[in-house]
Amino acid sequence: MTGDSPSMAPTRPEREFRDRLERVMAGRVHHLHHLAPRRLQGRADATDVVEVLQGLRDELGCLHLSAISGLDLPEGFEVVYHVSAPAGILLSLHVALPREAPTIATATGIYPAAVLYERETHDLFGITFEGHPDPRRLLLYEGWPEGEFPLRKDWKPDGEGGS
Amino acid sequence: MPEVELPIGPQHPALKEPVSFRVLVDGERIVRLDLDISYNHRGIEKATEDRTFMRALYLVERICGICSHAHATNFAKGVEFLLGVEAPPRAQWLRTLVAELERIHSHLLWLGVAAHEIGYNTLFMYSWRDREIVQDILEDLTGNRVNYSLNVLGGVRRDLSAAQRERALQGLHQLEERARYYTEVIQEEETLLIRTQGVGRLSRERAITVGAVGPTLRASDVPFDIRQEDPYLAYEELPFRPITSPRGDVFGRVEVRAQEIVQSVRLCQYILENLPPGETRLAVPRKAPPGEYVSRYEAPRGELTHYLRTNGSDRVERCAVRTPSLANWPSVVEAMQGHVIADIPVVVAAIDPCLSCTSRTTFVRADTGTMSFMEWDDLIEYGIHYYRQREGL
Repeated sequence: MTGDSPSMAPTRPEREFRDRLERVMAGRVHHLHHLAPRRLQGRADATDVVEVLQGLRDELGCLHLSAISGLDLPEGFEVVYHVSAPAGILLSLHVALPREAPTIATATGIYPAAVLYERETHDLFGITFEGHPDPRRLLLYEGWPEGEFPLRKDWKPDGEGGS
Repeated sequence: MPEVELPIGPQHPALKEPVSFRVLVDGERIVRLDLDISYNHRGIEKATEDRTFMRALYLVERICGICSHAHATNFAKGVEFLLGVEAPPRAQWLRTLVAELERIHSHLLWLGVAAHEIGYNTLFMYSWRDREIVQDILEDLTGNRVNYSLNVLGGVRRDLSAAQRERALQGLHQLEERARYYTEVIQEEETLLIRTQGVGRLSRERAITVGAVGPTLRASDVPFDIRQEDPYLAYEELPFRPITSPRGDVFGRVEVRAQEIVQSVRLCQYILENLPPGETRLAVPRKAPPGEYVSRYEAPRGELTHYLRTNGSDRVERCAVRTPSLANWPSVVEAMQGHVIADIPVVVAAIDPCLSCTSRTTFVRADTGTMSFMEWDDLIEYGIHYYRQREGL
């Protein structure tokens, strides 16, 4: 069956990957669950993120970071790292950040591919990636007002802020 | 020799979107390349949050003109998953047919543009003429040459009649021979070989590290293709294998795309000959329960991801799009190092950037500190002239 079929039990490669992940991460990745065929979801703390990503790359065969997505939820911000794992699995790692201080270490030391994804997330959400080698705007034009983050839920295109 | 910064853009050689580069040069040698891709940001992700799924589908389809079906299909199948439905088999096969037709048209377009970049206009004319065969099939099947709008939530908008199937097979039969011709001609054309072999080298290891996807990655000998890696639509039932090249240079990227055209023609023929019967769409609920899903797709340029999140309403809470071109820009920076200015059009074009370009190029010469501007067409001319002098092309 293709990956977009709703509700199927995890296959053996998926169970094996998940077991190895839990062993290697020793509690640093929690709330691991099987979301869909070849879709695994988990959570990690911001302070552990670099170590977790390094473990994914060096010990779990996850060489490719597919994407980084920012989220603005009622409970605060989240950064989601979508990591391409063996057996066609995509692991989405959620990291919660407090709204008042949305800062997290850069992933570019582990996955250089993160260089543009982090700039995009900073541009649109105002999340800061500490240690990013080149933290400039990516998508918003140079005249865009400082402090306006259009993908935040409280930012509206008409009337209130932005041009 | 002191280094100079050359801004290039938003006039871009390869495609039709604005992008701006700043190139740091030491004489003719490029030391570093930097990008500004902000020109075409339209706020589509934000806009999807305010629209029902169906209206958002039409918006998402227009993220890109060349790979519009990729975006629409990827969004549709992701939302369907969150709605708890699966499109019927016939609809999935028809989506796959248009996906492969789109790949053919995109690669032929790219082949022509890349040829134009190096002054090889005959190949440009031929490939765009042959591309008309695909455009005609797409128009016959969907009503449009661009933005086919084949997808609805729950399936496809149109079925395929026996007559349409016949016409499509006839067109594909013509295309089969043309596609094979391109895989041969690229091996023999001197201008192409000199401008692309050994140019824009990306080792297997670096290609993976910088996050490259699609033909750019596969040309560095990495068999990563979502159609095999994480199959979707009808791909598990089709005779498909990722196409790679061991070369790791621009020529490798040309080779991979030329062979993918041949493969996609065969896939379309297989689909038309084995299309399952049945319905083409089913009704879907209006609202989706809270959930999340990452929909993945192998677009002509590489891995495309839509991270979708729903919250019990009739619209997405979040639709985060990561296009393959975004993934491939760092590989351009990497591949450009050590090359000369004349190679810029070719190395940039090699990732097939999904940009429509009217970039202006600004050059700042390190030694004199003077600034000059070059239109993209002038930069192409510069490259052609440079190699004509050096290699007698």
